[in-house]
Amino acid sequence: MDGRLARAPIGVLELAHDGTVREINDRAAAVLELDSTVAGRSVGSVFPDSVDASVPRAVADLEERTVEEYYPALGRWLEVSLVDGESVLLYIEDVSERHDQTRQIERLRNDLDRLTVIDGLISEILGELVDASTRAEIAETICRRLGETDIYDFAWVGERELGDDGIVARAAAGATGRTFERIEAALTADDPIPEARAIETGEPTIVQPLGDAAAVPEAIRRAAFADGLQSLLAVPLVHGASVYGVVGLYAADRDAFSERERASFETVGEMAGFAVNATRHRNLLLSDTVVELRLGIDDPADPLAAAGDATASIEGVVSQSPGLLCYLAVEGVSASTTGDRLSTHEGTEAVRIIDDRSGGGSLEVELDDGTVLGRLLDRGATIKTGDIDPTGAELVVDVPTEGDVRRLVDAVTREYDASVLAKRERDRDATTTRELREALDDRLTDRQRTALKTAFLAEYFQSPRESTAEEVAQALDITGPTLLYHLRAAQRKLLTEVFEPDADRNDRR
Amino acid sequence: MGESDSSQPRPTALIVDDEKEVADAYALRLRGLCEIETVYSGRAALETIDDEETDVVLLDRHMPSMSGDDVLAALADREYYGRVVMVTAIDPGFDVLDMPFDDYLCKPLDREDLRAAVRQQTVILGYETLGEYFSVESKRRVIAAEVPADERDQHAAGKQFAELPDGSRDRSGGCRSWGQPP
Repeated sequence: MDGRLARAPIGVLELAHDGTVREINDRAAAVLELDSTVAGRSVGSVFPDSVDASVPRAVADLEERTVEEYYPALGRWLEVSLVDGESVLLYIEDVSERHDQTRQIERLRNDLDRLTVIDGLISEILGELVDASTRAEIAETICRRLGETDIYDFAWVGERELGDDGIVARAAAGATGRTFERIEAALTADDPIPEARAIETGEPTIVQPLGDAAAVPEAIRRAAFADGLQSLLAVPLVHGASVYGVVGLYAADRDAFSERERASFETVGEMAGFAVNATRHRNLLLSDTVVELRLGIDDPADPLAAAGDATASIEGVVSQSPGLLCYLAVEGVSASTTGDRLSTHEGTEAVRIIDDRSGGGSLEVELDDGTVLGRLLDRGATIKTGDIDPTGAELVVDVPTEGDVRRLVDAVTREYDASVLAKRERDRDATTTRELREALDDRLTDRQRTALKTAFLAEYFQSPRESTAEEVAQALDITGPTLLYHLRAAQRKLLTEVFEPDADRNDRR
Repeated sequence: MGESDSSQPRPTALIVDDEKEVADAYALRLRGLCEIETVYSGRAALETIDDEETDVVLLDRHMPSMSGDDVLAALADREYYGRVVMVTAIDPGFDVLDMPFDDYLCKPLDREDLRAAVRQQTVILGYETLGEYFSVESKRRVIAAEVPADERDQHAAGKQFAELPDGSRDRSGGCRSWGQPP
């Protein structure tokens, strides 16, 4: 080997035509982890083992070619080119880095693909949740969308059982396998599962790897291992202070759920919680019969029940997030006297006097979600009347269904000294909401209706707005001005139907 | 069972791992123990098993596009006769009695564990095939000897006789207890 080859920055191994090593340069010795005393040995004994033994085979064939192979003992990929001449020269290059980079690129590309799929999936779910009109539909939408992708193996939705802390499975989709059977068994036995913890805390819970997690019942871990599942994300369906249920999402990958995915799915949980809440209110709006409850509250822990010397009546209640605004008309003492008393109560956030006279007046009280009114509103009740005197408060509320009545009474009486004084079912008075809605549907175009509903559900009409016009427009894939145009037309028709129901219905604009 | 007894046909093992480096390293560690094939995807594994006799499959669980569990399901559909050793990333310490695979190993695999696992599965496969043959054959002989042919069909054992498996095996059955090497 001449000096130039000996000092070449590429490995060179010189062989006789029979495959005996003649010389090796420093670079080749370093790459092959050999010393220079290999002269005289056969190439097969010098080259480390590899699965295809491509180098010894190439030498045996004496064919000029380039072979690339992985050498486990070296932990390296080598590219070897054979050149035949006076002697046989093998040019040896360590190409491990190139393989690492290729793998890295592939990994990043997979990550990117995965994120793209997840983002698309989540926006589709959010879109469908806006249209879901029952709790069953919400549970099924989430399960179907999440369970039937390639990224996740299966999903199930559990809801809180009425009246106790148990969870019932509402829907499941995907390869539920043995794991879901064990989950159902654990629900029956009331065993602690991560999904239950997510409901308790109201926070998404990640468990990965599943097989090692001591907090998961062993029967579920065994089944998950048999089914090849390693990761779990439990997402609570939350709205305000209420947790309606949970989504359990199972995946085969060991680290399926990143912080980013956790955050994205937290949004899905909130949107689903919002949708569940909306269906409850919608039930109240759409049903023709309601349950009317008369509640007595004697507990000074509630600000209104402790409002004191005056008599007062509730003029109106506006739900906010968080908290609520309650408008009171006071008689007997001045509004500011009652206001001062209310503002010292810890359930009161703020008081604003609207009209102050010596013998009465009116005021606005901001109350937190933990108060009796807060709890009632949170569970879909409508406050009809409220009378306050020095002994306490008496409220009349409308509640949509029998099932919700128990839950609602439970939520109030668990915390407060309160009782149901009367309960009756009655027809909804005046024009039913259904009639109004049908009349409105006659007037609205599809686009106007969609714009109005989306803006409403996106809390565009809340004050302050939860979504801007831009955001709502973006959700509908239209421009801001177009949205506003549709909204104004829809609002005009809505108000016409409310205030002038006999006006011309041929307004098609 | 000498490892280098070349007079008898040796069992074949198929190594499936999407990381070529890992698969090749296993292949070298198993040299001399059995005939070895390596493939780098689940799909290639199924093609190989369809085309060639494969006694033991070392199956990486987490591969892109077609996972080890997908391959396992496809093998169950094919009523694959061989043994499947799942290679997993975690060791939950469970026994394999109610698992859908015959054994599992946790990465990284050292040479001795790998060879011991493959050796054990080939031994079990040998006993299982023999055991099934003898059990089927002895029942066949007893029935043939004791029951006249025209009565076999009405006879409960005769129905069983007709339904005796022919070389197929029950993956979930209690074969394992025979299978421990002496």
